[in-house]
Amino acid sequence: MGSFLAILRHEERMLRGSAAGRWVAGLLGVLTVYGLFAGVAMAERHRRMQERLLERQEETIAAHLEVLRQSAPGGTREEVEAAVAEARRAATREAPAQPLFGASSPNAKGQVAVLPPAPLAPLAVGQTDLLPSLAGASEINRHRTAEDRYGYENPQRLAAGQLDLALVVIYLLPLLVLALAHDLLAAEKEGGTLALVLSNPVTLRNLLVGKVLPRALLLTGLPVGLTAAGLALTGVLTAPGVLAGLALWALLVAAWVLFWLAAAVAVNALGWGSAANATALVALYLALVVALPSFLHVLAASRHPVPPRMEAVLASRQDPPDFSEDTPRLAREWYARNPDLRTPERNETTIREGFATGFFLAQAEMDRRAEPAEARIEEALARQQRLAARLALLSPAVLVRETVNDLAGTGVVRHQRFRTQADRFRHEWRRFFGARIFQGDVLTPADYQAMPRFTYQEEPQAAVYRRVLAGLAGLALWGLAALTVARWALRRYSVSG
Amino acid sequence: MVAPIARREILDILRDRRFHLTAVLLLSLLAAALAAGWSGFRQMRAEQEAAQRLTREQWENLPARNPHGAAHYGIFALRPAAPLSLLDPGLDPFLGRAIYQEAHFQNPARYRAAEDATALARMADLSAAGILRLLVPLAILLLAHAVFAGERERGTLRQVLSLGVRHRDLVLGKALGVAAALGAFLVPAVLLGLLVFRLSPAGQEVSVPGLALIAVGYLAYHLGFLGLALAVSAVARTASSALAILLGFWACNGFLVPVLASDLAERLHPIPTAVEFAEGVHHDLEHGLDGHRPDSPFMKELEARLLAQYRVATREELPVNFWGVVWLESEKVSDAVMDRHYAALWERYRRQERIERAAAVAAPSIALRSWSMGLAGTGLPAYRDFLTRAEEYRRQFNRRLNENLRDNSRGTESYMADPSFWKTLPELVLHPPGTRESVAGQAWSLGVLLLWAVLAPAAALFAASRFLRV
Repeated sequence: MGSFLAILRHEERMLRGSAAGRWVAGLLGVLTVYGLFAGVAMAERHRRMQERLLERQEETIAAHLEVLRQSAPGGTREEVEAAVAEARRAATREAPAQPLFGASSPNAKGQVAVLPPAPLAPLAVGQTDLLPSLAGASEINRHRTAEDRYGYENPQRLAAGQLDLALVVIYLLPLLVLALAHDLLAAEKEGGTLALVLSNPVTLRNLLVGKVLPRALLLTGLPVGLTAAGLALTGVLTAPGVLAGLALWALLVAAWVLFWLAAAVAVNALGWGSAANATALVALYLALVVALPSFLHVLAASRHPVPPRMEAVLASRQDPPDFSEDTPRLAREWYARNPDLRTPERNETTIREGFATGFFLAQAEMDRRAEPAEARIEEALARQQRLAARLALLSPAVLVRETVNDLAGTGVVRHQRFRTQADRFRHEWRRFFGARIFQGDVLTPADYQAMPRFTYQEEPQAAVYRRVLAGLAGLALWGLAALTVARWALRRYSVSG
Repeated sequence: MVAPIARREILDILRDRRFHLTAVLLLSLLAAALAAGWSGFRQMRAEQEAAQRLTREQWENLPARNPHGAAHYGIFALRPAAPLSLLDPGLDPFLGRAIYQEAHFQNPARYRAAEDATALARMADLSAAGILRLLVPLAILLLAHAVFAGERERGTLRQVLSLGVRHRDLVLGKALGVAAALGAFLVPAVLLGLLVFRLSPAGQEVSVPGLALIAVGYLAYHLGFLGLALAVSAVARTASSALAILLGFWACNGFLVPVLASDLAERLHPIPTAVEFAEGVHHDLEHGLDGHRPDSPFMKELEARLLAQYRVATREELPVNFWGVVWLESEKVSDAVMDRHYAALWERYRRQERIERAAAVAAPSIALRSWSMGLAGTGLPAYRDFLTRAEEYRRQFNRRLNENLRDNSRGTESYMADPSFWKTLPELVLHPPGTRESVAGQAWSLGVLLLWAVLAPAAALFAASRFLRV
């Protein structure tokens, strides 16, 4: 034990003193802070944009309520109807808002559903630079409603990716591990000191562990420590589930580093020179981190190809309904789909025909026609995602990517969940306003209170943790495989030859 | 002396089993990447053409209706698939596939392929262009890093130099050896691939000069890497340190600098968020002519002008359709507003690109990407070309519809255009940009690549004369 501790202390001192050690530590430190900052900035950008939109929405509603308060202080239906009629006669704009353009303001047509950044979003930008975090609900068909939720990010930036913490961990950390570990044994062997060291009462295994441990501690401890400190500074650590998530992330980084260290030991144990080791390890890196994900993607995409979005868009536009002629039929179908909104006094026979009703029904019909194609697209995407998650077991880099995205809440899974909830919200919104528009209602303060609002429902932590733990287990398997190869190779390792 | 040195180098390399493995791997990967690229191109072309036909059919089959209503129904412009995307898909997954062309709004191109894909898809960047940009240089580095440093370590360099071999001949010979070894399998593979491609119908759309120009870019890039590897090999004391330096450069050039440059560009010239852009546009539109708002001062002013022009007292008495005129005027206003905002957006993109161009001096892979995407028609210039032509069409489309309304009814009569009118609007036919347009604007990237191809080998010659001493 004493000799092992001596090796450990010696190796730690060597690492600290070496140029390579200092360079790697410096680079890793800088990149970690940079990456974390990029993640924080991205989450902040989304949050600010969402807050601004929601603020304006509330301002618009408040303005509408103010008009109501002034023109119909009692807030009853009769008062509001009288105020609307009066405003129409006087041809002014200060009329109480009508249900067709309900709580819509000029900028935000309708209500907006937002996907707030998860507390650990700084860990990975994930897909949040590409997938919109807003979804609109309004009287207009879905494909037009989304127009101002669409981002204008530079496509070159989307293609290049961002230097976030996930990129540092997945792509750069292995290269830094290889820089410090490609010559674990080869350097001493080439320098002629290996035989000398091992002539002391120290096993090759202990020597290796003594070399690997300080590297593992540096390459794991530094990014984890800096990230934890950074998140503490931004005040995120106190949010529920964050500490546990961060702990899982730390385990992930440790498992990833240990995998590459084990691979480096395995390659070293083959007895080649340090240049050959470096070459072999870079080749392994390219195979696992660059080539294999491409191959797996081709597999997943060809097994579950996603139909083009244009199919759904064009389906919605086929044989567009006529505002006036098709109104009675569309109204019947609408009430048949929403029987709970039908009462003896308010149903398809009592609708107020006109532009508002016709327009609303036509837009709803357009969305309804796109539904089968939309469902096919979402189903194919979900299947491709599930297959990709299973295939991830074949590539440790993909495992890390999927797991980090899950922890950060910036992956496809959370976004798909958001889209499903946004769809349901859109549906509720349509029901709320449809029922009022068709019957020629006016909006009273009570209606503004009752209007559907959207709050994203997070997935239960347990489900997320299950996936994360599965990812960790997969990565651990890879580490175990690398260690097994290392042990087999070490048994045949010749110290002097 | 060049020939025997080159011959020796080639033989040494060709005898190495690891070289055979590398060659087989590179060729298999290239073949797989090209096959995947080809399949992706054919699929996109089929999808876009089908959507193009359907949107036109839907338009032509519209029943009789008010032309302005038809303008709101609109039509789609589909981005054409570029044949050379099989080689370099470039930005394609992140570029919108279709633009909804309607009245009043210049919509962005939407439905990016990457939005309907998994995170795995974003990790999968191994196109033929990626292989040629990242893996072939790596092979060059691995083959050439020990050319001088290894000989120095083994002591054989001293022997060679003592024979009186000129440094220049040594460098040229070694360079030729490495280039010939790699070229022996890469060049036939690439030529075969190009031939097969040219024989296909899609391949006929691409000009031979275009293909040649792309090849020139990649050749210059690889030549530069060869020069760099030899230069570092000449200077470094050991093969290991040469390899470490070169791998460091390769990682920075291929991964780190491009992503840092993109980050810096965004920080210095940030792109507005979706909400900011929409707010800006809306604010300007609010203060212009909005035909849907009857009480706006612009509307009142336009009405007064029209009544005076036609010498009538009310809009109902006008000999042209009042709303037709309103929509025509309001399109001019909204067009001007959208022009302003999109011009500002593209100006930001352009400023971001300037920063990336500066970074290309340190990382020639940036220049190569730009050159390759530019000529393949999968970069931003081709995208902008698509957006511009689609917008020209949309404006003409709206103008024809509004003129039809203006000229075929009077006052505020309700009017529905006959369905035969829809067919008279020409179809938008788009093609990927040709070679000349693709090359224009890419001079800077070719310049950087040629500079790299000249300076790096020059550095090798210089390093050899300074550092290769007996």
